[in-house]
Amino acid sequence: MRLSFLLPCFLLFTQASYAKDTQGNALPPGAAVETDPEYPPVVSYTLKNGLKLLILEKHFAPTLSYSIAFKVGNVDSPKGKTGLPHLFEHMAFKGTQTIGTKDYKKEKLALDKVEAAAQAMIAEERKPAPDKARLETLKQALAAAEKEADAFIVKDEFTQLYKNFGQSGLNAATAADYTFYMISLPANRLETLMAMESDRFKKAVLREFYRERSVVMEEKRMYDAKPESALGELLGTTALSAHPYRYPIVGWLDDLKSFTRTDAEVFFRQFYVPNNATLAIVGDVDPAEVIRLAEKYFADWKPSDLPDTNYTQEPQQNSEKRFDLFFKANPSMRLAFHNPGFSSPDMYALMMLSEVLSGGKTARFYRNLVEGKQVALYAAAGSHTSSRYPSLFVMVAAPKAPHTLEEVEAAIWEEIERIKAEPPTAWELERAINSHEADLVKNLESSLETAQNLSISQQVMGDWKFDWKTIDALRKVKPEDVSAAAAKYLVRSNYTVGFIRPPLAAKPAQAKGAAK
Amino acid sequence: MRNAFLKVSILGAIMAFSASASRALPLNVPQPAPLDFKPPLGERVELPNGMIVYLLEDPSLPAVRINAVVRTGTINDPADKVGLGALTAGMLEDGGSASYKPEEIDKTLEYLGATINSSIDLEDASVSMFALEKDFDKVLDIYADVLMNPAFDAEKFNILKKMELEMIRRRNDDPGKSVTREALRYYYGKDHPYGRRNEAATIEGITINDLKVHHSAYYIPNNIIMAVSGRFGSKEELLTKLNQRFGKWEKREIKAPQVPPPALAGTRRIYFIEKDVPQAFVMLVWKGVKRSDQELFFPLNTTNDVLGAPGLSSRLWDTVRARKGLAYTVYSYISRKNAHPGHMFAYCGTKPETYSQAMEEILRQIKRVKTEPLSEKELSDAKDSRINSFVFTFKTPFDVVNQRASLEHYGLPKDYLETYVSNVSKVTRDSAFSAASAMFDPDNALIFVIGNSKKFDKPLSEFGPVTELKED
Repeated sequence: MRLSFLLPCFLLFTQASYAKDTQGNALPPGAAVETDPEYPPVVSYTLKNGLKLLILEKHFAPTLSYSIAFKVGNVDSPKGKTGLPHLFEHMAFKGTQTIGTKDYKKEKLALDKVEAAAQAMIAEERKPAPDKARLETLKQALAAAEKEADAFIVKDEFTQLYKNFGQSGLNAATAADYTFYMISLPANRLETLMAMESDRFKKAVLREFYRERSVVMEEKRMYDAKPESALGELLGTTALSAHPYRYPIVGWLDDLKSFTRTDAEVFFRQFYVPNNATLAIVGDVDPAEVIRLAEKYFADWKPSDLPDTNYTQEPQQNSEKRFDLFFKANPSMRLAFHNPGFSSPDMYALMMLSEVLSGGKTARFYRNLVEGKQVALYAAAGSHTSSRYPSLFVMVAAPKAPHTLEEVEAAIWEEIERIKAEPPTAWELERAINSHEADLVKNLESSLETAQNLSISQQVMGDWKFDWKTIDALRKVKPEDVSAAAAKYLVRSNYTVGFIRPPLAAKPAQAKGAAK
Repeated sequence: MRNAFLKVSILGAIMAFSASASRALPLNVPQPAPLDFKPPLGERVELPNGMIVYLLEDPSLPAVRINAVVRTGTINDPADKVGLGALTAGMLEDGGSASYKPEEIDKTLEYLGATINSSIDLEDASVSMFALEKDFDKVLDIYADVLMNPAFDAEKFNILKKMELEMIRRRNDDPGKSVTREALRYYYGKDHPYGRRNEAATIEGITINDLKVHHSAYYIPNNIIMAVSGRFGSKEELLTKLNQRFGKWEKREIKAPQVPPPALAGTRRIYFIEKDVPQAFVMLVWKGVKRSDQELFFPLNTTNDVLGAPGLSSRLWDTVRARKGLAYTVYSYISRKNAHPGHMFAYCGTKPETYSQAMEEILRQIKRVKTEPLSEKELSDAKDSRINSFVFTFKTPFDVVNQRASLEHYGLPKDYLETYVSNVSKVTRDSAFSAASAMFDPDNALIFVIGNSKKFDKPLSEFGPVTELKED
C-alpha cells in the first residue's frame, strides 16, 4: 500500500497550475513546478551557464534556508593533495575581491608575495635534507609577507556580515562525493544572500591560506584523538586499496603541508563552476523573485568543461583483511565489505539488508546482539559510505564487558549467515519502507535540511527526487533478493575488519578479556 | 468536553525586527525593509489535573510532535542513587507500560515510523513522540500509557543497567568529552549535583522499586508542561484526545529536594591528566549566573557573543583560530542553571607543542572583556546578530510551543519572547562592561587540561598550582 502522505498538505499551496508559483505569479519560461502529489511542489530552473535552481516555498516564519552543492569532494583531490577540497571549503569563508578587503588591488600584490614566500618555504621543507638555517629565514619571510597582507584584511567580514543580518546555521561540509555550503537568514535578506553567495564563488580570494592550513591540521589532530574517527579512517584505507575513496577527507598531514594556494586556485577554477552546482532555497520566498535574482547575480558566472572523474577502479579484494588499531580506549570494531555502487540494482537489496540488520530495536542486531546474547553495547550496519562510485557496506560494533571483540564478530557473522539462509520476513521489509517514508516527512520539517537534501540529491545523484525514488526502488526488493545480496557481498573474500585494542603495555583492567 | 479545561489563554504578540544597519555591505545591494513579523505563539491550556499544554496546529506536514517537559532532573537523584533519573528515563523508553509489553511498543512504533523518546538532563527531563498524522491516535495511546503507567520490565532493566555500566567504563575514551565533564566535576565538587557523574557503585545499587518511587514523585500531571504541534485537527479535537488519555491522571503534591549551593573555591587551580593524545584539551571554568537573572544575562550574553560564543567569528575565533591557526575548536559559553548560579567556560583543543600560546591568548581575551568596554561596533554587531536572528526562535510551529514550554519550566517571565528584542536593544556598552567586569574572572578560573605534557611548550605550573590526577 503506497502512502501518498504529501498530497493534502502541498495541494493547499500549489493549486497545480503549471509554471505558476504558489502565489499564482507567473514563472519565467523554462521554470517548472513539480505537480505530482508524491513530491513537494519544488520549482526548478536552470540558468544558461548550467547552474540549477530548486525552490520550495514554506511560509510559517519569514525565514529562508539556502544550500549550494558542488559535485566535488575529496574523491576529486589531485594526486598527492588529499584534503585540498576540504581546505578549499574553509577558504570559501575568507571573503572575496569586495568582501574582507580594504583595497583588493594592493592586497593582491601582497598576496602574491605571500604565495612566492610560501612556495619557497615549502620547496625547502620538501627537500630530502632541508637546510635548517635557510628554512628559518624562509619561514620568517613568509611571516613578514603575511603581516604585510594582513594590513589589507577586514577580519572575518564575510561571516560577520551574515551574523549581523541574523544568520542561523552558517556552515559548510566536505564529503568524499560533494561539498555544500548552507545558511538560513531572515527572508528579507534574499537579495543580500544572492549578492554575497555569487560574489563568493565568482570572485573568491583565498586569503590567509597558510594559516587556515594550520587550523585544518588541528582539525585532523582532533579526529586522530577520537578512537572512532581513527578506526574509521584506518578501515577505509585498509579495505580500499586503489580507489580515492580510501583517503581521509581532512587529508594526510603530509599533503596538507605540501600543497599551495596556487594548487587550491587551480582546483577552484576546475570544479567551482556553475555547471557543477545546484542552488536550493527553501522558505518564505517567491520563486519568481528567486529566479529573477539568481539571473541578476549568477548569470555572469562562467561555466567550463569539468575534469575527467574516472578514477582508478577498486580491484576485486579476494582476501580477508584484519587489523588491530592500538589506542588507549575500550575495544570497538568496524567491518567493511565492498558494495557494487548505485549503478547496480543490488544496492537497494543491500540497503534493505542494512535495515533488516540494524534499522531499530526490532532489527536483528539489537534484538540478538544487544539484547538476546547481550554481547554488544551497540551494533549497526550501513549500506554505503558514499554514492558516486562503489563504496563500502560498513558495520560498527562494540563489545559489552566481559564479552570480547571476537564474540561480537562471531555473533555478527552468525546473523550474516542466517540471513543468507533464511530470507527476511515481509514485516521486516515493510517496517523499513514505512520508516523511510516517515523520514521523508521528518526531513521536510527543517528548511535548512530540506535545502541541503534537495541540492545534494540533484547535484550528486542527478535528481532532487532521489530520496523519494529510493523508496520506490526499495519497495521492489523481495525477501530473497536480500538473502542473495548478503550471499554475494557479505563474504570472507570481500571482508575487512579492524579492532581497537589497548596498546599492549597499557592494557586497562576491564579490557583484559578482549586481548588475544 | 471543552468546559473541562479551566484556563485558556491566547497569546499573540507583535514583534518588529529592526536592528540598526550598522555596517554597509561592500556590494551594491539595496537595504531591505525591516522584518515585521507576528509569530503565532499558540495557546496555553491548563488541564484540571494541572498539566499544562501548549498547542499550535501545523497543517504543513502530515505528522504530530509532542514533547512533555517534566520538572525533574538528575539534580534530584539521591546521593546514594546517582543515575536514578537517567535509568528511569531510559526505562520509560524501553520498559513497557501497563497495557503494552516492551516488544509490542517497539514493534508498533517501528512499523509506523513513529518514535517515543525519553531523556533527562540536570534540571529537566523530557518525554517526546513523533507520529504520522494517520497513526496519531495509536501512538498517543502508547505514549500516554508509557508516561503515566510505565512497567519497568525486569529483564529490560537488567540490560539497561549493564549498558550504563559499560558507558561508565568507556567514559574516558574521548578526551574532548572527558575534559568538559571532569572540569565541571572539580569546579562544583565531586558530590554536588551539578558536578557529580554516574558511578558503577550507585548504578548497581538502584532497584526497580527506586524507579517506581522516582516516577511517582516527578512524572505527575501538575509537574508536566506539554508542547504539541502538527496536523492534529482543531484545538478541541486535540484537547479531547489529551483529556481522554490524561484526564484521570491524578494531581499530587510535588516534593523535590533542595539542592544545596555548591562550595566554590573561587581561586586559580589547575588539574591535569597525563594522556598521550594528538591534542591538548583545555577547559577554563569560572562562576556564572542563574538563568533567571535577566539583568545580568542579557549584557553577559552580548559580551560573550563578542568574546567567543560558538559561531564563525568572535575574538577567540579571530585570535586563537583564524589569525594564529592554533585550534580548530575554540569557544566560550555561559551555562544556564536554575537552582544556583551556573558557570561560564572557555574550551579549546590545540596541539601540545603550542598549548600555552592558545591558553595565554584565551586568558588574555577573557581579561580584555573584563577590563575594557566593547567597542561601539562590536556591541552593535552583537546586538544586530541577536535581534536579527531572533526570528529563528519561531522557525517551525514545534519550535514555538516547545520553546514556550521550556521557558515556563525555567520560570522565565511570561513575556520573555515579547520583550526579548527590547531587552537585547537595551544593552549598552556600560551595562555590558559592568556585567562583564563583575562576572568574567580569568585570574580565578579553574583550568583543566588533558594532554601529553612531554610535548608542552611550557610547564602548566606557570599558570598556577597544578594537581595531577589519574584518569578514573
